[in-house]
Amino acid sequence: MCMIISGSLAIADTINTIQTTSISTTAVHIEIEDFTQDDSIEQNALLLMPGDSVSFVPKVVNYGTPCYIRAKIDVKMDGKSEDVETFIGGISSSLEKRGDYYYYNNIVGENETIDIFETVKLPSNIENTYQGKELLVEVHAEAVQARNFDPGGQWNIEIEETLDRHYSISDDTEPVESKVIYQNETEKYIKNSNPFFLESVNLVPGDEIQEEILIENIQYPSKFTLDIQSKNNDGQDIDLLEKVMLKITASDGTQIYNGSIKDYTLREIANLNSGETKELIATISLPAELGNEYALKKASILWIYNGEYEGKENPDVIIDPDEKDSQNGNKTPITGDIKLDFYLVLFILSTIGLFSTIAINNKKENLEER
Amino acid sequence: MKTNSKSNRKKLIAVALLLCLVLLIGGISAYFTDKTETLSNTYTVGNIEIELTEPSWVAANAQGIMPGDELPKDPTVENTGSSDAYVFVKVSIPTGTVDGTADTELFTLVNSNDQDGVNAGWVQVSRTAETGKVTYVYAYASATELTPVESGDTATLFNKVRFVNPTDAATTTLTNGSIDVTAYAIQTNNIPATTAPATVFANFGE
Repeated sequence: MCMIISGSLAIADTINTIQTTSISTTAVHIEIEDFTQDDSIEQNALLLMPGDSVSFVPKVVNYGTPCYIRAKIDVKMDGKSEDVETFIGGISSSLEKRGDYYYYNNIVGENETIDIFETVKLPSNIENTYQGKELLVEVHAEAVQARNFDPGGQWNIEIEETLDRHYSISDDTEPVESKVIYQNETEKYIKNSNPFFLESVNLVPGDEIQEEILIENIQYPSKFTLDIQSKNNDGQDIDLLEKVMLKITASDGTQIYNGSIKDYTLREIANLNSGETKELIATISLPAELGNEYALKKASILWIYNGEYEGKENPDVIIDPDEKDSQNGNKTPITGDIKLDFYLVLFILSTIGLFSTIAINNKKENLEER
Repeated sequence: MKTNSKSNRKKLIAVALLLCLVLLIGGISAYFTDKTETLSNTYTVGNIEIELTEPSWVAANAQGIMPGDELPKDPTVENTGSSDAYVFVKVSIPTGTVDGTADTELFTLVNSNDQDGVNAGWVQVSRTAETGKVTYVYAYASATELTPVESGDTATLFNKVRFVNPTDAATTTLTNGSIDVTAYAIQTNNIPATTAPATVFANFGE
């Protein structure tokens, strides 16, 4: 019985840190708009004579993430391709002709607009053979994410249309969620970059974000684990977590995890003696091979740190994270340990048993004395 | 040795295929992209088209004409195109020796008022004398500016020609000849009406 009591004093306590990180992808979204002034077109403007020049002002507006833009201009006379610059006037000096496209060499920022050209013209020296023919001018623009893309030369990529033509990055005002909850003064043990992965929103393929996790064990020999769970809210794109990669490495180069976030399972990240520290680098990345099908996805994950140690004399009170989160409506899972309650009951039962034994012994002794 | 060589070749091919596969996998990358709709505008190149006719001309009347005869001949230019046009007409008149004067024009143009000369609304641009003929160029214009002939409208340069009437047959030499009439038209767009008719006519390369 005494053995049991002394064992219950060397209880294992837990410390928890719960942290939520938002992960989202952005999208490339451009529109081409005709800024031709109506009053600049004469009544018969669509009937061109040699030397005529009529207003046609296509502009490209960027509603999505910063991107590179190129435009293709086609001029056809009765279906036969013609030299673009013979019939198109005022081509923006910011555009550079490479192959079949006119490339805008600078990054086009959010809500920025670029000009393509200003007029359609019929040269004054055009031959009589063009009389009565139909002149067709077509222009469209293509865009690719600016980050992680080399815009030099002719883009050798497949350009696909965005899946959401209503998306506007300026309307995407949902606040970024990245919070850290320290329990039982655990900030003494685990120090993340704060805010943690705040830039993991509006990702594009090829993005990579690194943050630091510093574990400082200042008191007791402890084992620290990290679990990652998807936050079970509506509107989550869990398939995004299959593609977002997580790599955790220690400063000594030891790899703790390298795989998709969805496949991550609870694992030990440090086992430290008192006074030891361990530095981890967590890297979240979106693979470069992902295409538009992964644009505009959103998901949140919970980083759940758990520490176990022995020998602490005055265990701190664990605060239920739901109590904190209930104020802002968030619900986070409770990952606290129930060992304390179990040992408390055992301690009380042992004490009752001890006192009962003493009482019975005393009673026996009293009867023998009588 | 042969077997070794074959085996090495197979290994080499396998390594090459593997390398290709690795390069292919490693080289795959996609990006977030977008492509706009196509803006398009269609224009029609205007056409300048004219037709030259002589409604009063009867070819048979021109056979065996006598000095002083007048023949109905009314070169008329109709704008059959879609756009307004400036119109020019070139007339070549045969020449001969009349009453001892060489290179005399054998026909005189007569207007709708039975007066010598072309109809009102035409101005002479040039006169060029060559062997056997004199060539005139006329523009449909006022004294100050060119007059557009609108689509569907017509303009008649003159209405008759009068054969010369010599007084001294001994010093007159008449030969067969023809009066050649050619019409020209050019767009009015981008050509100010006040441009000198000779300058505009130069566009025809005459």
